[in-house]
Amino acid sequence: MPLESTVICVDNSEYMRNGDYIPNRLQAQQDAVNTVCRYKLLANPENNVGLLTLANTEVLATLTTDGGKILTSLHKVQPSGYINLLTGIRIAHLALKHRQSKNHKMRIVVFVGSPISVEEKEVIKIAKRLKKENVNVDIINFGETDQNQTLLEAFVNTMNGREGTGSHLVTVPPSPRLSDALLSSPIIQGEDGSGPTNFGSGNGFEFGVDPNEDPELALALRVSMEEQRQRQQEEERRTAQESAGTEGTPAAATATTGTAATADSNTTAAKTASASSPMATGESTEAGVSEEEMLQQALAMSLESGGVSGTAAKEPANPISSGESKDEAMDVDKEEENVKDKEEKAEPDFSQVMSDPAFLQDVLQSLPGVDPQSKVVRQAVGSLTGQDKEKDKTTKTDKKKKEDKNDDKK
Amino acid sequence: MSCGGHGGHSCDGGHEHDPAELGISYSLYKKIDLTNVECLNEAVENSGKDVFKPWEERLSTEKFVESDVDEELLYNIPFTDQIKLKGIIVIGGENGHHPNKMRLFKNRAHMTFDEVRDKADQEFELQPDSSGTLEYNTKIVTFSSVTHLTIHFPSNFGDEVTKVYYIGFKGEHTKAHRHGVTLCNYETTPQFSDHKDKVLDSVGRPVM
Repeated sequence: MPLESTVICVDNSEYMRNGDYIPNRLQAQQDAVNTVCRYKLLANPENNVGLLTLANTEVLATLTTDGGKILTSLHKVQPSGYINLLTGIRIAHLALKHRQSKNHKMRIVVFVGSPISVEEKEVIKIAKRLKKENVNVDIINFGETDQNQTLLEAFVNTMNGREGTGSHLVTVPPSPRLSDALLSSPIIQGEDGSGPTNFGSGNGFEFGVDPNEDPELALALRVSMEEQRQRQQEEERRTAQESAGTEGTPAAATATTGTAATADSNTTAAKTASASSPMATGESTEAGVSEEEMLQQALAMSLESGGVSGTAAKEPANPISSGESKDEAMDVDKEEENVKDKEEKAEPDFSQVMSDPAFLQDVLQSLPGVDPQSKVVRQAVGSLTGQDKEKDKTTKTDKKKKEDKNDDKK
Repeated sequence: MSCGGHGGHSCDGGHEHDPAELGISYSLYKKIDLTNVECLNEAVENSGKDVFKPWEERLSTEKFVESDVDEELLYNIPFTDQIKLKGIIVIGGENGHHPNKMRLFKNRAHMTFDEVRDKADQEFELQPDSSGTLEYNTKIVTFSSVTHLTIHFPSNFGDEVTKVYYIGFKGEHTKAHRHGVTLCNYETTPQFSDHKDKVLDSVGRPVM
């Protein structure tokens, strides 16, 4: 990992109030900046990162190795005014020139989310100057992507020259996760797709599976995790309505069509363990509605069950089997017991990543993508169930035995 | 500043022009810290180092450096020893590609194109030389203890791109004196008697 000093330029113009990125452009940008910052600092302990705003150009944080400083200054950013791209880049370059260690390579990461009103000539001029001084520039084009595309392309092409791949342009269309788009981009992946080895908390990428190596599996894992979470939500609501005793089972059945192996057994187990905090409202399975509730739950859960989640993790097939058999309208009580049984069982699963509460929070934040993916969920899930059928059989038999035992205990 | 011709032709300064002997004296390329050589505005990354060839390979046109955005080139050259720089030979590109000026700065690491606007330690007007016969003598007094040399080629003979095939240095080298710890005591087992006066000065402080 080369030594690098990076200055991140944030777009804090009025255009950042727009909500086409969830929840609004400014917040999505903050997430993305955080991601980039963490990656840079993780890549090499001596790396420096600085922060600068493009509208009302101001250096919020000088080059530092402390990610916390960047984060705190980042949160003070408020949208106001219009960006001045060239001035911002020049000041970023100046900040880099005054870096403490001249051995560090210089890099500027620019987030552009509002229309740039500069002539191409000026842009090319600045690009040439930076190229001469051996500075690399990465540009993230979001928000007003069409308007700025040509200008920014010209900029990055000038920066790269004939050959040369030091500078990148990433264009992100409106989507829930700006920082996710970045994770798979050359900005974080590196030019050979090497990617961060220890990024995203815990053992490698989310779910412990490298999206490069096995994208389908990674997608399926993520999707099934979100599905599982939804299912758990339904469960909670059903328990709350159990006394009323109406639509518990049908509601569950709708939510759980064939969940595949989840990397989310942790959340599952822990949530049912703390089922004492019942999810209110028998509303629909809208991800938007449940998101806040789940977030609160996750927070409560991570606070109390740091240890519990550790032991409870690692169940691949249990959720599968329980999910599938749920389709046949299993008793809610038995379900809960089965889930609790998982805690006793210690089947190793995909990774020990699940035992990290911080990771759960990350994962929860990716929820917004659930609804559109519900069909994708089923498809992806269907492909995985084929793989897991064997596991299902063994665990199903185990399950039944345990169910019997529990019935006896009752 | 430059003498022409070679092979049995001596100038006022009494320089040897016998290629073999020149070769011996132009051996400072060995003392260049190649991994840390920086060449700003080079078109192909890391091509800047290629011009520091052994004397015998100076005429090879395989490796060279070209400037990228404009005709300026800036070299930051650290040395592994202290150098007494006496002369420089530059083989440039054909026609307009050849640099026409050379500016030297001594012992200023990591210079950039802005800093290089300063007054140089020495400046030369270059003549086109495609065979490495023109030597440019440096002021001995100024360049008597060089650990880092910056070479700036600000312009050329008219082309958009400056091309350099070879840069050779003549001079002497001495081991650089590293100012480290010169007085120290090594103990295999500390003896209280050796530290009597200092131990009793310590101040204890409770941690909890």
